[in-house]
Amino acid sequence: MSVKILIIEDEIHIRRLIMQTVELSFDELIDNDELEIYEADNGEDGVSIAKEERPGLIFSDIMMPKMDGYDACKIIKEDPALQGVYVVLLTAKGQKVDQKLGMEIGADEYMTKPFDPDNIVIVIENVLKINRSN
Amino acid sequence: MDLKQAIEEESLEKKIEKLAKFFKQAIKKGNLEKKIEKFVRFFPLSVFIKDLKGREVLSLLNSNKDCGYHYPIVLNGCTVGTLYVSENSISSEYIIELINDVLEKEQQIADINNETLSLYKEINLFYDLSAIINKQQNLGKRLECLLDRCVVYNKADNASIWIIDEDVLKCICYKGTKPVRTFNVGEGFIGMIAKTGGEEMLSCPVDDKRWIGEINQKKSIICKSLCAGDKTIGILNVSMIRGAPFTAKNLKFVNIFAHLASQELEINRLFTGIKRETVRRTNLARFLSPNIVDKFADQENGVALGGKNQVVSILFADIVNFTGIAEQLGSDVIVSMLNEYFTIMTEIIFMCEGTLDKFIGDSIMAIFGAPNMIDSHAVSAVRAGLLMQQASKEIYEKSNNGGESLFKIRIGINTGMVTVGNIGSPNKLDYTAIGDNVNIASRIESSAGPGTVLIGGATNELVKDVFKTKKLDPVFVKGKDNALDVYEVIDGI
Repeated sequence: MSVKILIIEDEIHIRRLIMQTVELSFDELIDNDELEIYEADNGEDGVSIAKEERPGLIFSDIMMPKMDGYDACKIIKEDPALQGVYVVLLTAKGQKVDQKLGMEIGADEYMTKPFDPDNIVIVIENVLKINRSN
Repeated sequence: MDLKQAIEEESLEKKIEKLAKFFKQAIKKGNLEKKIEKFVRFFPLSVFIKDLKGREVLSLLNSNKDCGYHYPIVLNGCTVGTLYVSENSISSEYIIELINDVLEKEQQIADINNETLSLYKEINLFYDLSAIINKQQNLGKRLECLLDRCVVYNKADNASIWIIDEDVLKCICYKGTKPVRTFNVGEGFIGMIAKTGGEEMLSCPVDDKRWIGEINQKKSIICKSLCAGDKTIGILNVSMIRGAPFTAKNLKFVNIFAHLASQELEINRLFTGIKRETVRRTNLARFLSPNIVDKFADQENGVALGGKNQVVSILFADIVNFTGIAEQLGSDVIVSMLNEYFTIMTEIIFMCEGTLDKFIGDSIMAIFGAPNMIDSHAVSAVRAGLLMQQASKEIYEKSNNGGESLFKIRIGINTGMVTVGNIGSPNKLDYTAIGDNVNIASRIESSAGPGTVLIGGATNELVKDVFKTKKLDPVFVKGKDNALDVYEVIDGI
């Protein structure tokens, strides 16, 4: 069974950066259809793709049109069908982040932009490990 | 098959594998299936695409048509898959064209994405680097951080910073293998970079005539001089034993790391200099007035002998019956009291913008209005005099349990034209004031009563609106035919 990664981000270049990082680092898994990447450019579409595809990992921006990252994360984390999904909230440096709210709604991690692409790889590797052990 | 051929074949195999993976993804991302589907709706065809491993990538089969014709799918000169179609016609040619268009477009996107990712990594490198370096307190830790990142981002095995110390290159910080020796400037490859400056990248250093390093075969090395202005102060050496040789991009990175290391070393040198200078100035300030330290410490051409005529106010202070008090209190007590007295009096003079000229036994001579010119020099001098009288009472009362003060001082102030400047010899200078008005100030002080501040007529003219003064009988002083007008300062108005 493949692991699905969903990127919810309104800035196309950030989505592309994450996708490119994943494609370069996990090309073997992608080629064998063991890893799939999905993308959405707003929280609303993100939630809908998450419900449909049930990803194991979500990278989500906070400030987005239609639905922000907090609301998207809250809906996803409250959905019993999406239990265990690992959510990483992406924040811009200097952006005021309500860490308490993030914790309350169940975000698993924060990552500050500009992020180190290697950290994206580390997060994915950890999720893959958990997935394998399950 | 020789080694070179084997490496070339290995890399060709990897290239094909990479392209094949890309091909599969590009078909998906480029929505080729939808595009072909649209086409076969009007021109019924069976289309089937397999990757190099024979796996199905796309399948649009028409039950009535077998895929009897096949064509290789070529990307960058390499076959990456096979197209199976039911007809060998213009329709199949169109399908091939469609595939090529999708692959070309997706390859362009991938190239842009790769470039963007690479630039993003660079941005993150320097963002991360500046944040990490600034967290470190000392030079050693900052350089360690720098080398740490230099090794990571260049995928290097070793990195080291060397500084030139009396024509010898010494390693002050390293990551990886510890350098085992020092190099003279001009000796070996790194010694030559230290001598000539600039940077150089060698893909096989052991073949270089200048190389005198360890037997350890380094695959690739980049050496860049560290500079302070035009001067080479050391080098940054980065090397690798395994992996692909360094490229022009690594050279660019090492250059940036070297600039950062140079800045760190230069900042540290300047900072150490400032700390040393501050200590020197603090020490000097114990012997000289801050005014004099500030004025002369920065004179680039040294302090010259000479003086100039200037109107200033001169203050003399003297302890009344010092010899008698010394006999009464004993030497230990009097030394301690004198130290306290001079310390407090000096502080008051400095606080009132005065310049301590000298201590003469138990007497103090201070100048107001030089070397820093102040308009209110007479007011400052009188204010200092009053504060000194107040302080002298407190000093005695503190040491005598509030008994009657035997420790009294008299203060005399005179204002007038004097010669101020550096007087002495080139090896031993004193900033001082000389002239008749200095002598008069001293004579006025001699005429002052214990616990009083006595001022001359010129001083009184300048301070009478600020302080309450009382005219006393004119006094005759030594060396003057006419009696001098003198005033006692009562207090502030």
